[in-house]
Amino acid sequence: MENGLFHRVQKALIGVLGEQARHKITPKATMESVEEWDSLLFVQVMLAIEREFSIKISADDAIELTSVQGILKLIGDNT
Amino acid sequence: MNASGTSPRQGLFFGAGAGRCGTMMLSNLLNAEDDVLCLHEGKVRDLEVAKTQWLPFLTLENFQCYANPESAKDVFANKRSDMSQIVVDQQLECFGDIAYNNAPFVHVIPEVFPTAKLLVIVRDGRDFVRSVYTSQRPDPLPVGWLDQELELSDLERYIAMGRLRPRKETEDSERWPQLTPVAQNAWLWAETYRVILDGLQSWPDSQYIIVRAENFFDNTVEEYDRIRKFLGFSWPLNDSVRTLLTKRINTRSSNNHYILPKYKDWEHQDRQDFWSEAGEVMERLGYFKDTLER
Repeated sequence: MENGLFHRVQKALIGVLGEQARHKITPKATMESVEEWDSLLFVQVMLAIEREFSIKISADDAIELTSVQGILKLIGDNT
Repeated sequence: MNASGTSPRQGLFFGAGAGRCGTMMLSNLLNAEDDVLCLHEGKVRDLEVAKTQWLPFLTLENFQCYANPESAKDVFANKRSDMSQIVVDQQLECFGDIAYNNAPFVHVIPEVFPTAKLLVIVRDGRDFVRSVYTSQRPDPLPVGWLDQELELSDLERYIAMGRLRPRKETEDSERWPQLTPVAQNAWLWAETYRVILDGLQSWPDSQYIIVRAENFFDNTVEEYDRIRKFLGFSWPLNDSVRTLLTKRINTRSSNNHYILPKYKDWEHQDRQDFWSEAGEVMERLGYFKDTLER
């Protein structure tokens, strides 16, 4: 995994979930492991990833946005 | 160990339906029983207020596993792996989850939990379409498709991303953008029950029952008694359940938010769209054109 890519994802997630979530956002983090990452912020996470990586995420791919690994895969598939 | 000494998985049950069919009311009733934990979409509800989230969401997995049914078993086994342990830890007689998003998993539940029971909760599709097509903005309990040009709240968008819609590259997906909300919600209702009815082929007859929302709303006490017997509840009703049986939970207090009138007053085109999308499943479930002209 590219470390730089992960750090950009981490930064985007912290921007939405807050600084207190930083230590929880690891490459293995999921919505279930990060308390702040809930359904109400899901769309904000999606928009933040779209902005940071200049990609458009379809509803069919939304399931990937439930984990950091999924987000990295989604970015890889779209860039 | 639960009070009866049964193995943990003997007391598991699930409920599936299209939503807006009495699932919240039923889960509140069952959750009020002694030694029973009954969730609604993975969480405890105190009437309409969401409380503890016991099980992981299946919101997005709902569409994911509808689109890829072969992934359903692994997803369900993974997301519901804690259920048996919860039965033990909480010393439960019975543990269940009633949720619209159980539908794409109905065909695999017996593989994951071979002794589980299933409540299939059905409601006339015309009433479903009328109930989910709402002008309430934002809708706190979004279930159906709204006008496509509406700007959705974050919660509505999140839930919509997991809602059943046609699979990619199908005939239905081609025509989907041109459908009205009435037609889209008729499709949603019909497809949900088509998936559930097909999934029932994996179930022994003795392990599921059909609960008609119309019976449940009109004869709540009798229908609830039938459900209790099916689930094996041999103990008497407690006061909490008795109280709830006298209430109607989650009925919208007025019809002010409904966009559609009662079915008898629907526009011709809406009727035509409805029967075109949902006619076959309506008949499979015993709802016919000449009934319920309400």
